[in-house]
Amino acid sequence: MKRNRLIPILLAAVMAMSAVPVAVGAAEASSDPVVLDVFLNHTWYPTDKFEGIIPETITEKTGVKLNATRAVDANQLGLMMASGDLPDIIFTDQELSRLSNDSLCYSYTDLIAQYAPEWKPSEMAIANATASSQDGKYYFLYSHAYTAEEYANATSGFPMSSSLLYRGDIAEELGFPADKLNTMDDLDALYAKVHETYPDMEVLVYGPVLNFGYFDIQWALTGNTSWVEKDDGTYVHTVASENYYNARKKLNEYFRLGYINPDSFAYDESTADGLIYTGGSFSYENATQGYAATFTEMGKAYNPDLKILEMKPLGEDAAYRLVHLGWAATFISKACKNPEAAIKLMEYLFSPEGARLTMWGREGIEYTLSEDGAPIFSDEWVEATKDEALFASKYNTNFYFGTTGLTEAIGRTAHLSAEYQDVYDLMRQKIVAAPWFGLAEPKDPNSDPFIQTEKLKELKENFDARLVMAESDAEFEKIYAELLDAARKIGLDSLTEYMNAEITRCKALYE
Amino acid sequence: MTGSAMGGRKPSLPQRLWRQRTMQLFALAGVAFLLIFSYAPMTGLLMAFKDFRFEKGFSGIFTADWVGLKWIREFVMDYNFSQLLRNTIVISVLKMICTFPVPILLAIAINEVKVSPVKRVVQTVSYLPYFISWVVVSGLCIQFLSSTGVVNTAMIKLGWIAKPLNLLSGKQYFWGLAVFTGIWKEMGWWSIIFLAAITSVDQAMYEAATIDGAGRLGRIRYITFPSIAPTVTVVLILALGNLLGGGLGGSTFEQSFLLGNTANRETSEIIQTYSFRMGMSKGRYSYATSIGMLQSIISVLLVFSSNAVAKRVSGRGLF
Amino acid sequence: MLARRNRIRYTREDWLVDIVVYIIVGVVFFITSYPFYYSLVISLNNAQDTARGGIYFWPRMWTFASYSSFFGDATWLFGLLVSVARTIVGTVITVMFTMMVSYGLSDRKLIFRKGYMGLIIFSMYFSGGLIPYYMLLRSIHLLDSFLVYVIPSALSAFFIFIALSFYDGIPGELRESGMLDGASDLVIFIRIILPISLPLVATIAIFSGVGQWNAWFDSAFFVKNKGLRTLGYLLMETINQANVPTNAQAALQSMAGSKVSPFSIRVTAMMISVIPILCIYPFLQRYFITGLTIGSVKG
Repeated sequence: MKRNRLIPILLAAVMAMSAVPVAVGAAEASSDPVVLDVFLNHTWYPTDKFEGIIPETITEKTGVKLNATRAVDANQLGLMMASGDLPDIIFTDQELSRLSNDSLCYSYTDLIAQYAPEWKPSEMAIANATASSQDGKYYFLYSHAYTAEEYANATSGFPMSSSLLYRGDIAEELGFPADKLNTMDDLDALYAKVHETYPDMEVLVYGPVLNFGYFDIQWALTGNTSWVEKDDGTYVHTVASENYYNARKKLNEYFRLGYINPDSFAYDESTADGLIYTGGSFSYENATQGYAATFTEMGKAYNPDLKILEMKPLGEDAAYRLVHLGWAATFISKACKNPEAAIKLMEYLFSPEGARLTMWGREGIEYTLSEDGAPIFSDEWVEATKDEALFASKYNTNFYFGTTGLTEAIGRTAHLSAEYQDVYDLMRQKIVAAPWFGLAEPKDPNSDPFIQTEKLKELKENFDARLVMAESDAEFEKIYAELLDAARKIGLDSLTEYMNAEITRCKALYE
Repeated sequence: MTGSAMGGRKPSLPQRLWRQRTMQLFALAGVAFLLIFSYAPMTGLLMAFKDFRFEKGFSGIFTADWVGLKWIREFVMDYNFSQLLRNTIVISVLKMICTFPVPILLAIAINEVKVSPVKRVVQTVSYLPYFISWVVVSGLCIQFLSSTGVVNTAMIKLGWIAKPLNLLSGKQYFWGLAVFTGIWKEMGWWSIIFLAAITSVDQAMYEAATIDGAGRLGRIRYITFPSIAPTVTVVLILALGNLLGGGLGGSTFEQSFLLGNTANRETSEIIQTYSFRMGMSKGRYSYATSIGMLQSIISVLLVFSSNAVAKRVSGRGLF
Repeated sequence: MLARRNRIRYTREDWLVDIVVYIIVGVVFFITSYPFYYSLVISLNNAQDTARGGIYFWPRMWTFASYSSFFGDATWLFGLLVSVARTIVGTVITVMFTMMVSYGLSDRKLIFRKGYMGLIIFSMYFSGGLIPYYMLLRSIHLLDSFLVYVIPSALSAFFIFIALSFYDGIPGELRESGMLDGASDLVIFIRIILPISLPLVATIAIFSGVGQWNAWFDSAFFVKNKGLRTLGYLLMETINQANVPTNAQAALQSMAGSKVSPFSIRVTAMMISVIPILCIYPFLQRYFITGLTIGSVKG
């Protein structure tokens, strides 16, 4: 019946679309599309083909077709930059500062003035991107950017973050249905019960990336910045913060109670994933947000009662701190054969219409907007999401050079059933947007603060495991003291001073 | 050298060169090749002493500011330098001692198998792990060595241990893991070289020895072994040159990178992985190059000194 | 010959050696073949089901899905052709060039030999890195061409030393007798040395052939033309695509994309690259297994 309603909309949309190119200019519509070479500097990128409904629609709207090459190795971009053999467009989340350079790329400042004077990116977006360049111009705009208001007003969607999945069926059986799980103490009690009832089960497993992310969130920490605001308004590095100390202390307690198998540090993605849906583990901490439904489906083949749920935030101080400025950048290189077409492509992809198209498909066909601005997807779309390969080849939602964070978040979760949506409503209440942390992060990769920041990240990663696996309180203290000592050797004190000034300065820009 | 008039009619240099012109041309072709493909790019070594920023282009190798030993100093002063140095040395030496003899023994053993199909099958099978990339090896290790894996299960059933060992995450196990996986992965592959040397031994010598009454051990000792000794010497010197890279035990870098994890990093992190994490992957080419150069110097010293020792001991060396 | 030796008394020593040898060989056979066999089984089993564990000898849920995820389109067929071509051409070039250069160097009376050897050794341990190498390839117009696969790999110092140690074992009289017959060095090399060097040829061929077959790096860094991509490159691309990045924000983005099983993908990639080698190796193997009798060649 929904389909019946769709048909008139569909017809209208087709007519509207066929009218658009004519309105834009007959010359463009009749000529062949401009083909631009794009280098996708993400080895994991799901596709390297500009095919499917969404890319084809982009070509229709902008007259640009992309010939994509996906990175195989992280050093490829560096070599391209050093040798000057750059493709037309580069889509990357690395080397933003080094690419924001007049000798390698066109600045958006100049291109917009010359070819797309109508395009007026927000002042904050410009300031955020300009922070990466030395000459006061901006060479990209962050994709997946967001504002605090956007999330405050949103009714669905949640930015990707670490999560804790757990076996809802077992929790319920042991007397802990979702509404009885409200504090960290509840979680402690549940874990104790699970460990007692199922001694062979690994109570807590974490994935190889972003270890302990969910637990960090309960203590208002995030992997996207190393800095924490203290009560007195000054800023302190994560490793020197009470939040970090307490979070690791908690995990150490779990370790000593036998909830964590040390091998968890060695598991790869497949193994860690497999344990939760085949019954080997009770809870699973990883960047698995939104996978509760997927894993439940996968596990049902072996255990029809199995139900995997996503844990709501439990900590008193829990906060989803959004500190990043956005995600990636699209650079238009000096070698670009048609900078005009490239900047116009970006203009379209950053427009509300383009942003939605990349994540939601065509309005009126793949989705219709509800009253509160959320998309209602077509049955065809919802059906396709169940088959990853089909969904990818049919729609190909991946070319998201310019979309916003919220658009992506909604597109990812809007098709889930209410059972899985509720937890996002709780999580959205805990969002704290503080992009000035991201703005203050050292940008120049050759500078001391940058190198110190990287070294401290590495140091923290190495000590995370040691702290969690400490055998006694005394050993925990000893390792923690060792960590602080090493951090000082790297230059923690001078970096703290520098970052306090920077964060304060950046925060002022936002006010 | 200049071909004196004394001692009969020693030919002059050009004459001698002309006489060995074919051999000279053969050798020079190789040298020319190396000059182009190896030595020309070595200009890049300059960046070890410069503040090279790749985003400014290739010419920066020549034009960037000199910084002397800045990068080496940064590395040596690093908070975990002593730990990195210890791990690097211990793993390299352990692997060298444990992995080097294995392919030789295996080659001799395979050669002693007189049933041809068995010989063929074992030889083919033994080099299979060479093709398993370290990424896959690390995956297999998780399957086999985790606390619920086959190895722990078997050891518990046999009563050898009471609780599963954390072979993958325990920092006390990493060195053993590196040695064992190194042997497992590479022994069959390197045995190919020794087998080739063994098979080029004149079969008539074995027959003669048999007739002289030599037993099998005798034949191994007096014919097989001496005949592969030159190859063993050469491979040993080359392996010593590659001591820091892993000798005949596979890439230590990949082992540390893929079998290492945050739980065992105290014993698994080596100089190469650290310089990769802090240098190359952060675009700090100068830093990475200078650490790499330090290792090259150590390698060359090792090769020249082991060559000198080999020459004194056996009268035969690599060069 | 074998039969004759068997007729000679089998002593206690012979038995002892046999026992030790068969134990060694048996252990090696088991620990090397089983993980490989296990990988084959995993590559043929449903990836989700594998996570349950307990698969040791036979797939529980047969599927070719892991394999079909690789051979998506015609790119793979091209990749296969390019890889076969580079393996054949590259190996032939490497073997010939290495044999030639090292034969030249094997003459101990060669003038400047010490200098040449020094250059070779240094070249093994010092490298200027990727950037100057790329610039070199660009200046000699090897970028984006098939030749970049087979020319820069034509000579390796390691192979030279292996070849030199082999030539060392060849009796000097062989060359001298050739010279007495009035043959030039070139003729001696081709007529006398090459025919008895088959174990060496086979060794270098398998070492360089395997390297060529697995190569992906040059295809990724030095070639832009998609039609020139090698099988190794395509395998590496698929493997890396299945990996979750370690950078926090990128990891989150990639997880928003898809959920694949990297282990099955990797194992399958390995099988795809190994099976052809397994098929070809037995043809080279006989040169290691059946010994050559130098005397017979000489006579």
